[in-house]
Amino acid sequence: MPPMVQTQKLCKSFRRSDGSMVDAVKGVTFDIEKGEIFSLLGPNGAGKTTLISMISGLLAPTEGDATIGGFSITQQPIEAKKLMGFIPQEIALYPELSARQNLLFFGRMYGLGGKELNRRVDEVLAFIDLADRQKDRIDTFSGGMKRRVNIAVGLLHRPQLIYMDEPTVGIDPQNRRRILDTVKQLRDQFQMTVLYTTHLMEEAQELSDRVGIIDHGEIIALGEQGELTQQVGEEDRIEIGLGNRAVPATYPAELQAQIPGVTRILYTPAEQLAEGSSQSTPARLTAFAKRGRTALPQLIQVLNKDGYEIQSVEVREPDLEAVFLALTGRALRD
Amino acid sequence: MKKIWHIAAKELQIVLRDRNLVLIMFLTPIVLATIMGFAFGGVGDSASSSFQHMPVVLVNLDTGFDLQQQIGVTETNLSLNDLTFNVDGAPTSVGELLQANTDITDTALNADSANFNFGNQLASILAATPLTDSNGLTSTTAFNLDELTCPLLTENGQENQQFAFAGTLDDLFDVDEMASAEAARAAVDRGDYVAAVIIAPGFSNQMMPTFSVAGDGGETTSGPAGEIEVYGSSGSPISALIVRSVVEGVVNQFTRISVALGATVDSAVNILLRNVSLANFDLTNFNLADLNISTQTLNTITGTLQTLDSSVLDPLGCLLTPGASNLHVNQQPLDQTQTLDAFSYIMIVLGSAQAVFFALFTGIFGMNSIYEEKRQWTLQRLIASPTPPRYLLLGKLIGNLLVVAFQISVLLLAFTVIASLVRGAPTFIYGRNIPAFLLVVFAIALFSSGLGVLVVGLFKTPEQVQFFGPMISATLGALGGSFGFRLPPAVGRISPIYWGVSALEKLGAGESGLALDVGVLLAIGVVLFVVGAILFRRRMTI
Ligand SMILES: Nc1ncnc2c1ncn2[C@@H]1O[C@H](COP(=O)(O)OP(=O)(O)O)[C@@H](O)[C@H]1O
Ligand SMILES: [Mg+2]
Repeated sequence: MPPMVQTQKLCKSFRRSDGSMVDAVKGVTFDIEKGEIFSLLGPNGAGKTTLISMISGLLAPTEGDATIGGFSITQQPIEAKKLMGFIPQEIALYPELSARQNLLFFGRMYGLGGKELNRRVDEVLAFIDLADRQKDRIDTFSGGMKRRVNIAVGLLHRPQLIYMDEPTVGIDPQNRRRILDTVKQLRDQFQMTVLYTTHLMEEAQELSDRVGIIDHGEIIALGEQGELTQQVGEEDRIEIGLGNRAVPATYPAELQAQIPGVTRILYTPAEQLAEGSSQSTPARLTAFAKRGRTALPQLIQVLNKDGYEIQSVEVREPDLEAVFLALTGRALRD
Repeated sequence: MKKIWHIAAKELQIVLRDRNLVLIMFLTPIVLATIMGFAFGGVGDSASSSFQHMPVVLVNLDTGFDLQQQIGVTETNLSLNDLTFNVDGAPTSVGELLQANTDITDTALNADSANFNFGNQLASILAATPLTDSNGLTSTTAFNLDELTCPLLTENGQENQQFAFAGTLDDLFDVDEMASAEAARAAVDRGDYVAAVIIAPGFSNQMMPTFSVAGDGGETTSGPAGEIEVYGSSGSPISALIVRSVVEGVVNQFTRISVALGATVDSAVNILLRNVSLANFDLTNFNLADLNISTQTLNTITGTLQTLDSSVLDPLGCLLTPGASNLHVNQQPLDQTQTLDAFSYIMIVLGSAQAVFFALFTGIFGMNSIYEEKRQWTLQRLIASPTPPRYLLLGKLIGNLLVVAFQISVLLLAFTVIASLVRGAPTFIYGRNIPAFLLVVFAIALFSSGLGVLVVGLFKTPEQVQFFGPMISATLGALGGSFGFRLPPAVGRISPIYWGVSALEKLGAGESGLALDVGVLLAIGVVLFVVGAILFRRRMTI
């Protein structure tokens, strides 16, 4: 079976307002198979939205091409676009119009009409459980409800492929749960192919058949989750939260040398949550060890002796976060 | 293709569901115009008389027009009196015809000169003063030429309405005459008069068509410039407007008649001269009696002249008969002006200005909403749909046009309803000619929307549009008379608002000369739209 999506060396450079160039996506090539959930996992600014915008025909690639179901997005955009449902990161709805009016309008833009359109609208409204609010204006909806309508618009024409760009950003846990379940439903019940982007390791882990990890515009790892975690070996990961006290650059290496079984220690300094905010994430030490539970007491002992205040301790099995850390030396931040 | 319409319809749907937009687009202009209408027009017992007996000052400098001189036979003894026409069976000389009607001739009409004076005509029409002719007949009967008939009149069977017009202008204007244009303008500036009507010396000369006389080799000489100036008081813009439209109306009739008259005189004189030259006469000392002309030649001449049907002089008859259908056309608006109360009349003017002015805003801000669509990602969703980019562009453009046209229609209908309510009877202040109404609305909408497309296409950011857009609208508004004062037409014409308001006023007055206004708006609108669309295309990408 031919892949649903094939990208060939997709590149995108933007010109900043000061005239300098940013390479947001640097030669990305990958395939998405029919019927799978493919996640693009990467921190903010990694190039997820830019990549997905090129595949969906919103942005013209600086170089390269993508095919959807065999149709080139640059050469046969109309045919390619017919196969795709688009669920952007923003709530791309007219706030003045009701949920139903939005669905009817965008349905017409996908060539639906008449009874068929009305039937599909009823169907997706039932699917997102908002049939009772369909006549209300979008601007009266809660964030979670808007997200659900945003998704419904992308499903109206029953596309073979659906893109979702960070669909859970800024919503409460309950609605997030619903959306994740919906994504799995799309694959399992409707045999849709899903391209899902997120910066949350847990989401990628829960949903994906395959994951592409993207950073600085490049795919740095690609494959099934098991394959990826094996790349970083069988090591456990010990996360130690420190206070705000700065750690000298040489300290992680000194620490590692004192404790047998620890293969590597990374330091992540404290970081302000937002500009001007008084809140910040604490500084962290991340240690990799074959047997985390044996190394842990020794680690704590040495840190105490050196006068560091330990705020939290966590031991983790190998996961995608570890893969990202191992590959980039940085953490995927929330 | 259907998608274009769906996008356009969506634009309108959004506007109607946006409470703020509805307030700005519809309620504000309606309230503004109504308040201003009450403030200027006043409502109450005195309202209906506000536009009666408007003081107007008249300066008639017209030196008249010497027909004989113009046809180039002055050096000869040939007098107009020698031209005889068979009028209703009886040979009648032109001199005789003219002499019987001093109202169109200079006071001292003699057999050798036929001095037409259109200025006197206009003056007497405006002043509604009966001209007394040499036979002591007063205006109504003086105008009534027994010998000459106006076929237009007879055909329409409107003979009985011939003098309907005599009383109407009398009620509308109180006319004083002055000898100096300067003094008249000063009097208007002082506020003594709502307007001065100044008839330039060359008015008759300009009104007369040029004719060429075969054999004489000469074109007619061109005389002094012959404009009529209506100098309106800025304190009474509406009254000045009424004066202007009345004068324009009358002069239009004159023009039509003079063209017909010119053709007649031209052919009559040419026929005469052709016959004269056939007989190899020397015109220098031409005297019919002294010349030794064979009977045959004479017969040829007189014969040709005699065969001239009296109908060739019909246009002259129409000119001399004020109730004739030519002038009658102008009758309706004059009547209407009178029956409309002050409030309605003000609503025509203020309403038009407000409607066009606010349409400009909608045109610009409607197009500026493309940035909002980009920000909320609905534009991206549209681009991601299988819709060709040109459909998206056309949908947006047509949508804006639709919104603006809808706004103008609603405003004008609202003004009609308000004027009717105030007056207590249905009052169609923008007339009842639905196709003409729609055409004018479309022309204004095309222009306003086109301006919006160009402005948003031209300026680089939404903030620039928000800054410059209102400045552009306000400037055009001020030039075009949206703020209650009117600049001279020469300046106002720069602004398409002038043409829009002018077209709407004509609709209201039931006048027919809309073609120019509508044509100007459509032409500018198309240019703005096309150039704007080319620039605007880049706003449709992300
Ligand atoms: N229109 C643009 N102009 C300039 N730079 C851009 C533009 N869009 C994105 N970028 C830059 O490209 C990089 C990738 O952005 P994006 O694709 O939005 O990342 P993500 O969706 O993964 O958070 C960022 O550095 C961002 O600043
Ligand atoms: Mg993004």
